Amino acid sequence: MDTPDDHALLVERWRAGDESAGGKLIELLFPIISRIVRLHLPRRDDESDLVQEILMKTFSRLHQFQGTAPLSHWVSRIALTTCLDRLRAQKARPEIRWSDLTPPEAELFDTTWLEGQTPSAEKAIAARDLVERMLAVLPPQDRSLILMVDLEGRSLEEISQLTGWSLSKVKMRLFRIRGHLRKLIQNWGERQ
Amino acid sequence: MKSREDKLWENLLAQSAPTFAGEVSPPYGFTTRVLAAVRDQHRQEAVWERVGRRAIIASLAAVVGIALVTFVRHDSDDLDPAVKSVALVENVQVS
Repeated sequence: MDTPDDHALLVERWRAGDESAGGKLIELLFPIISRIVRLHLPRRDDESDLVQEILMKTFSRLHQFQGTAPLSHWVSRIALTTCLDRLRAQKARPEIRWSDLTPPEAELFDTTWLEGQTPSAEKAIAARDLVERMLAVLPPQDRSLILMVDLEGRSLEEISQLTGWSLSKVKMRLFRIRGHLRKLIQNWGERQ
Repeated sequence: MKSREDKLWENLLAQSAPTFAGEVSPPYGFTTRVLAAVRDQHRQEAVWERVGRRAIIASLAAVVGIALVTFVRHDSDDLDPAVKSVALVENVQVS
């Protein structure tokens, strides 16, 4: 049940009133939606609630699914646009100074700065917190954009298709975000 | 050419990557809950659809009724008394 044809078959069965196909669709789509929501989760939103909301949206639109694109792409688009719509309502937080960092975050920054990558499971949480602090100063949609490029490895063309933004807008935003992050890291490096 | 800042950013992201990974399977009871919510949503949509259809039929019936009454009244020369008196005074032929 992993090929696009199998997915289309599940959709057909669900449309025909087969409840078990609905359960299989949820299990199939859950990891895809969960990954997107965790990456683009708006502050103050509950991850599980948002995944459920996206699944509900998906089921209410299943009659529109033509099967021309893989189901996973179609659902990814619904998930991403739902997250981006929610993020649109949020505002960026004020600039964070070096003195705002917690001791583990400051230590991690220093070790990463001086020694380069030091992969360790314990540091993953501190690294995530630090990344979140750096991204929090960006407009929420810019946060999503940089994560799609640098973490998910999506191409600019793909992002343009998913978000509906023009390619030049994606490039321009990305350029601005990178400049912003560089400046922030420089400031922290100089302890400002 | 990447700057030191770019490399630090990449390293931080690489270290934090495992925390961004989503769940592989839904938690216990999640599938049942979502299916129940979907069923409920479908039921509500069906109810609204029925209500909407009935409202449209009732509106159409009302429009047809009003049109019929207007047509019949017009045919029976049931003019407003004021209009009728003016017509009589001026000796206007009103059909």
